[in-house]
Amino acid sequence: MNLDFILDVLGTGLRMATPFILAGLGGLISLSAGDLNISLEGFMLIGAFFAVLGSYLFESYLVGIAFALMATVIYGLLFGLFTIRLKADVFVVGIALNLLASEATVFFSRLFFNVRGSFSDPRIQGIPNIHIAFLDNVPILDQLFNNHSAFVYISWVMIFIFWLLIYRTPYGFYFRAAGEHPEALGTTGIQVNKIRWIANVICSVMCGLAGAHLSLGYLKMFVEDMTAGRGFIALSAVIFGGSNPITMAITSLLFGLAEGISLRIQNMGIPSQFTLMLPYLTTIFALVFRAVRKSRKSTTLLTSIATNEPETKGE
Amino acid sequence: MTTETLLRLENINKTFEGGVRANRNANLVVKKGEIHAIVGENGAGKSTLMNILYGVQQPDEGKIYLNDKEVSISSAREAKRLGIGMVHQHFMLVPSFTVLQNVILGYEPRQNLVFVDNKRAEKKVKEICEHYNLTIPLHSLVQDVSVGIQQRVEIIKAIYRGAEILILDEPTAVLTPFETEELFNICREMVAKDKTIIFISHKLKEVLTLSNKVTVMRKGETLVTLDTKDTTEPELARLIVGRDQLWTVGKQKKSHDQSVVLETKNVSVKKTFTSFCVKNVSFDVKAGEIVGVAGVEGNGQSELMDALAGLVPIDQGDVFFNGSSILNKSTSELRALGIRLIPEDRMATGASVKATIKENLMIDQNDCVPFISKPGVMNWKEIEKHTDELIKKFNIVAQGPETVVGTLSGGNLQKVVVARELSGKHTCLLVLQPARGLDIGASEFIYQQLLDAREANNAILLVSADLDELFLLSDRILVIYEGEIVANFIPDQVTPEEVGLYMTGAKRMTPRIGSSL
Amino acid sequence: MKKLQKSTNSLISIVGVFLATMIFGALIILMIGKDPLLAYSAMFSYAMGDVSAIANLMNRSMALILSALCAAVASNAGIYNLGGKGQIELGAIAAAVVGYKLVGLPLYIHLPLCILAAVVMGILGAAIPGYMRVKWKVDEVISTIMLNSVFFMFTSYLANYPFRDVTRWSGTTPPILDSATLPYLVKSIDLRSGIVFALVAAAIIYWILNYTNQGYRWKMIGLNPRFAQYGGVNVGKDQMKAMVLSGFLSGLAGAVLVCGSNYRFWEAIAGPYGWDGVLIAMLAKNNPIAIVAVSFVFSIFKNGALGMEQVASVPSDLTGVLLAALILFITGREFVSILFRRRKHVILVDEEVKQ
Repeated sequence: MNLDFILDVLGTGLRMATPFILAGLGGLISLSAGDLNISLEGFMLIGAFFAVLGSYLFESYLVGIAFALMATVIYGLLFGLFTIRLKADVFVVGIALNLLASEATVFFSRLFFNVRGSFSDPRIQGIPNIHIAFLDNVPILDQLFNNHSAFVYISWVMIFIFWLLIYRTPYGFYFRAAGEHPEALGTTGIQVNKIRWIANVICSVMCGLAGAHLSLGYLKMFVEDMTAGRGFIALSAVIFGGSNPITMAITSLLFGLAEGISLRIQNMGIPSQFTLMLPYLTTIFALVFRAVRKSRKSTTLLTSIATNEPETKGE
Repeated sequence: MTTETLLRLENINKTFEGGVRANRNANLVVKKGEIHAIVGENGAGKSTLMNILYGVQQPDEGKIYLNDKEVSISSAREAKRLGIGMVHQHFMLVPSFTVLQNVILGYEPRQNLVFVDNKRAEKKVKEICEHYNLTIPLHSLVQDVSVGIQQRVEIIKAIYRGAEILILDEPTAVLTPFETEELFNICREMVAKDKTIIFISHKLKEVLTLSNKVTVMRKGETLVTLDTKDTTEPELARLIVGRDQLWTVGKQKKSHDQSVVLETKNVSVKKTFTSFCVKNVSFDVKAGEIVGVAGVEGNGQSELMDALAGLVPIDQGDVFFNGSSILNKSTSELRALGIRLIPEDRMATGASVKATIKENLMIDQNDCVPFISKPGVMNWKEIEKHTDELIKKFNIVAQGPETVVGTLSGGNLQKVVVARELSGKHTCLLVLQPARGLDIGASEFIYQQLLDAREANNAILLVSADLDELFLLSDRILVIYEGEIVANFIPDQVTPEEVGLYMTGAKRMTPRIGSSL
Repeated sequence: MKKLQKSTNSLISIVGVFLATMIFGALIILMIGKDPLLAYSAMFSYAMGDVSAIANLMNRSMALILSALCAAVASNAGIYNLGGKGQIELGAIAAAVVGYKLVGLPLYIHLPLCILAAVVMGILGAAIPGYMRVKWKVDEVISTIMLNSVFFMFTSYLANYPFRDVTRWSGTTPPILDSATLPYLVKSIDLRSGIVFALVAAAIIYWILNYTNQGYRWKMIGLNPRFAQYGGVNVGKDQMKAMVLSGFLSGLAGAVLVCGSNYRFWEAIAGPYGWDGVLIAMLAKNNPIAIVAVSFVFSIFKNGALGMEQVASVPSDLTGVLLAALILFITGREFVSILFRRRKHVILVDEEVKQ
């Protein structure tokens, strides 16, 4: 266990956390506005596929990202159509859209690339890594923070943008009011459904970015079901971290770290399943912990998932 | 007070789908700077008229004039633009937001077009507070402040949004007498500063204390508008009800040397970890006796009944049924003993609106012969027969046992609830607001059922906010105020007005309980 | 009479939605320049063309039916179990381990032992979130979703480390012994007996839900828990019972998958069955008979996919897209009609206030 190994694991953790942070921020807005979107997974997968498609067709990662965003926003409109307009059950629609994403991406990759499983091609242009010159000579920071894919840095900026959005702009208040007491928002003359639509589109965009990062960030390829449960980890981070982007992001980092550790120890032949289980287990424990405390204290707190509790407990 | 007419509603008609006429040719004239009360029974059309004024509903016919200009109020936002604000009975506040955030929600002053300018917002709200002599903790969370303060937040919210006319919908229903007094002071302060208040209530005392003008509504019509100083409580009461005493039911005199069936000793029920909603309540109910519990809603009567029915735990004290303690018994055990609850919210608790009549009738008897043929197996044939019998016996207007309860009218729904509770073994009835929202025919039917149960030697505890009902049915009346029993009366020896004084906390027979609870 | 009319109406609208889905699929097939009629006829003949195709359909449906029943029993009682996937995997690995470890037992002892082990694990997997909900009000939707991943990791660990088949490259257990396999129903057409379990389970659940007081209480809790509690029903206890039965069914599904179809455990064996089961239950409105029917429809699509690919060279994955579209169409249709009902309901409330 030398320093290099630790730094390597930490760096991997930072990298692994990026999709969680991006999709998590989207899920967080969506949850604030009252919809627990369990199809983050499907949204990311759609984003990942169309990013590769765009990049492949135009040999440009920017077009890839644009494709990803367009596709996820359309997907989000579909989600909104059923949940907001038709008032269908959020969970049924979420499950159905997860299924649709996984089937449709396979179908499309047969159609466009004529392959199953995975698709990579030299034409696919990946998202460039960012090299920060002045870190080159700083030993530890260089290993940790330098030469990541651009989206890693973007995700960090996004955390603060979302924090400002939620706590400093009117729309942040509208999102939270729409989730917590929609009638109160409605009587101010603001249409609750409009707010939910906006939240839904923001969520789609963030999932699109997360998906593009997955397929174009490091691998430059599309693999069938490549999200591999990351959407559900992001969902855990949202539930665990509450409506605060910063606690959500810290949770995501810890979950990313757990995945980073798993990757490394798997290479060493140690079972990684238990570290991979950690995000889900911690979320369950957090839910139980909150619920037990709530039933003991019987406070006036609102629903357990929508409240933002200080994360003082250890991992 | 000026004599300038501010608001005029002319011949407002509103018919809901299904043919219910909520407003018929309703007229209303409100002058600037007055407190204009609108009184009437539940369902007299007050709320519909106010919803039309606030843009929530659209009238089928009729015109609204504001400052002599015809306006059409298509939405709440439009109403706000015209300077009409409303304080709803159920507060429209986000619990986890601060008071300030709630006040400015939807109308935030902005900084750089993007961010909320908290400083400017605070300054603006503080100005309003100072102008009207209001104190509110701007930075506390709404969930942590009292109901009275929350209402004040609602008022400030309306003023912040530029309300010139403020509609208060039953504002005192949830307030303590002290808070009510404070609210009245605020109202007076506001009209002194040129605001206009429309005050909806069915508490005549408050109307007489506060308002300048009273409009009486009955059956969707605006009957008459009076100067408050020229009218009296009995006159208003007569106008509202439109009848003097129409009840054909009435209780028979009975001797009360019967045995005690239900007895509570110092019962307390917790509301939160530290506060109680029922405090140290002791009383008894004898066989063949109806004991009325009078109280303004929200004074702990619902929680008391729920606790007696085993739905919420009793935190202190003891309850005896025929002499033995029934503390910690489950709802089903209490039902087996014959203790039955007719809850106030029949749509949410008393019935399952998506289920059929026969399913609704079986909730407590799904384990009893003859409704099961073998252990655990339902005997639907027998159940349908039983349901048919009850539909006949209780005059329930329904197609049959398979009718979904949610499609029944309010009266028939209540009959289903009563039929279920009175068809099983019953020796002690806990009844809440049994005739709320029902027409006279249905009310009388329900009353007759209760009186029949009394004849059959049931002990009945009847909670109601309607003194008319209590005086009609009760052998004794207890008054509950802030979770305590503060008085008890024999109906013949007291006037409703006197009971009203105790209900509002103006008088009490028992000493106040110290802060030890 | 009215009931009959109601059910014909819902049948007509289901057929309508089904047709809409097929037309939607035909449009896609046309768009990619293939022949929709050929594709569909290939799909159906491949899925139901002869006896062995039908047998194959049954084999695919058995775990689907059990998984859907698992979701239905719970949500009928007002408690969601979206954890079928994880619970099936728990059950499957238990059956697989018992199936290959215990040597020398006769079939009539070994096979029941496998099923018992699977069922116990399934119940355990469902009882945990059930207990957390009943005891502490932990949202079971979230906890069951999270536990899916936990159980997947756990069974993946077991199949990769302690119980791994070292002769195989991927994470699987060794094959189960002959004494632990479910016998064939009709060997010549490869019809396995798991379908009998599924159909019998569906019939029993149908009976429980409609004719017992337990089923009645579950329904009442599902419709309005407050009313049930007020009526003296022990809501927590009954919901716990529903979760136990739900877990029992998922464990059974795991056993059927291992003992009656795959003959060993491998990672993510429950793959599609878990979520598909939830969807089928919701589409079938928790009605066991409808669940059997919808499961067959799902299986027709999935089994017919290969035919579509081979005969009409339409990518087989189109069927998955069509299934998802079918679900969305059905949810859309249902909720449009619910909107209508809701409006009527509002009027009714007004009426009450008016009186």
